[in-house]
Amino acid sequence: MSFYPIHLSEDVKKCIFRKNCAPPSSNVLRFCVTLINGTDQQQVDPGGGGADRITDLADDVLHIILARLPTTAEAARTSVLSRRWRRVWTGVPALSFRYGEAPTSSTAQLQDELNRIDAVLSVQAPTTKTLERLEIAVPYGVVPDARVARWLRFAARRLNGELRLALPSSMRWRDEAAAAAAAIPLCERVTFMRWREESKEAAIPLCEGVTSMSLCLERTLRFPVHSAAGAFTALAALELRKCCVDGGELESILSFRCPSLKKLALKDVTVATLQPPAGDDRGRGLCICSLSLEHLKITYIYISLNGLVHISFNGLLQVATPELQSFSVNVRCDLQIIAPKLSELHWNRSSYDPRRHRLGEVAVARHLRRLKVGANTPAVAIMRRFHTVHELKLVVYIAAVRCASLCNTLTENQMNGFFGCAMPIAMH
Amino acid sequence: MEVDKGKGEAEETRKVAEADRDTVTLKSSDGKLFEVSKEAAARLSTVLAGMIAGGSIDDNGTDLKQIGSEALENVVDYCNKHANSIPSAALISSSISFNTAPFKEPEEWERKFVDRLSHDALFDLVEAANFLGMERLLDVTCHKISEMMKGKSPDQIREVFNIKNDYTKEELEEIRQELAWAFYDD
Repeated sequence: MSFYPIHLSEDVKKCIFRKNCAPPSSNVLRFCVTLINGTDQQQVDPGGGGADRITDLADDVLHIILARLPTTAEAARTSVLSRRWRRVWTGVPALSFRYGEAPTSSTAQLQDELNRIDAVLSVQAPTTKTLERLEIAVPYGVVPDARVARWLRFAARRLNGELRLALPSSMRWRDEAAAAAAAIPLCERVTFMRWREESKEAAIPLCEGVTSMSLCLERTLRFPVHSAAGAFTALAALELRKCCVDGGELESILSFRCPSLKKLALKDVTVATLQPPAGDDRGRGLCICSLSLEHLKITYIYISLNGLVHISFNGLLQVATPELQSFSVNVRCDLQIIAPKLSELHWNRSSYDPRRHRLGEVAVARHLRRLKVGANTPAVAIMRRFHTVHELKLVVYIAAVRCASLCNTLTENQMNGFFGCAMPIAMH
Repeated sequence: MEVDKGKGEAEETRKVAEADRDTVTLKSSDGKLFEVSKEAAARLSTVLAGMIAGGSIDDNGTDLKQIGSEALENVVDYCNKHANSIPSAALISSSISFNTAPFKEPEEWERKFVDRLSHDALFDLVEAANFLGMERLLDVTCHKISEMMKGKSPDQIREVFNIKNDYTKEELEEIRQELAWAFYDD
């Protein structure tokens, strides 16, 4: 039996593991646990015949091994293994700093952590070897603008590969964030994010060697549209999360400065636009125009007018991408798409209204390899838009209360029946 | 995959046939012969690709003195499995999931392939992959080794890999101070 990914919400998980439910059979449990935790980790047998095989490996090979450890700190700790290992980690072409597990308790502690990152970067800075990955994730506390700017410049100068920065700019400790998230409905959460009002900025330098860039900076990103020369020549994948951008700047960068861009993902992005010309009541929005783009994922973008997100103003998202193959969209704004080669469409939660969402030259042959839609009534309209769909994925949303009773009554056979049926079902 | 070759065969006819053959014969350090598809060998190993292109493939079995028969068998096995594997459904759909994982994760069959190896066989295969310039196989085997290290204390790592600690106590303390940032969690 083969599965498609099934997303279980917290509610469903609670239901499955609820005390007053009949205990789920081992098969169901194993299935749930694998779903939640990913495949179970294999235990390793300790060293075969007692010989030290790893120490004899060439430095290049050890670098590959250490680069795959989750953090640079873990790689650096191998220096105490034996003399042979003393400096091996310094040759690893990747730097990864992640402070993910627990929110740090004080600002002083955060400063220490940030200083540590800078210390390692400054040791790395003068060396000439190329760096293939830089990842910095500090999920809690405030990282000052100056440091963010320094890290971005370091990446622009040294990196030939992947850049991932996940840095908040507003003081959100775990409790505060959780409380705020629970109290504020998703659609209004945009107004809660204070960083949008703090006018914090991060200037993205031209990174010619960066192939993949993922930024979650909770700032307004400024792109180098006015610099005379250069481009993000190697950039194939770009992901922007939790940021504000100027619509014009982003359009210009995507159209003219990212000649190799294949993947673009925007999530929680506020796009600032100017007052629409008189007579155009729908107003301007964002136009994503790229000759190379193949995969596009847009989740919650807010088109702001003169610096404000209006409840009544939807804005317009235009996508003009001759090479686009897959498009995943979850937006409130109006939409116009030209994507003649589209073969995969994920139409998430947001309803489909043919008047507001215009699929112009989309999938010219009207044939999709895969279509994923929410099974609410307007979704039928989007299905009618295509003649053939090779694989249809319907997402059924079940209210938490009804879901609880459903899970109470479902026996294992029924679960198997669900998951094994010809049409894959995703539960939310 | 192992092929027994009689020595009495007519060299000439075999040489003619060799040019048209779509396999190459590799000889391990202990003299065993293995056959592998020419296409897969050229695609997966930069060293073999260079030898095939340069015509330095020996009809009687190209000598790979650095590689034992067990490791070479695994290499050949990997090449064959690689040729037969079809990308999993998960990989096809990942195009839209915007996976920015730093490395390409091993596929399920690759994971199983390295999981069944003994400790020594794993390291033999790493060395063979490195010697033959097989980037993907090297990635997959190194991934396995890094999984064996992940989340472990230095003592545990030494135990898993039989590494002998040749530092003095003072030296260890010195390193720990120099790299205090890395030992922060302890």
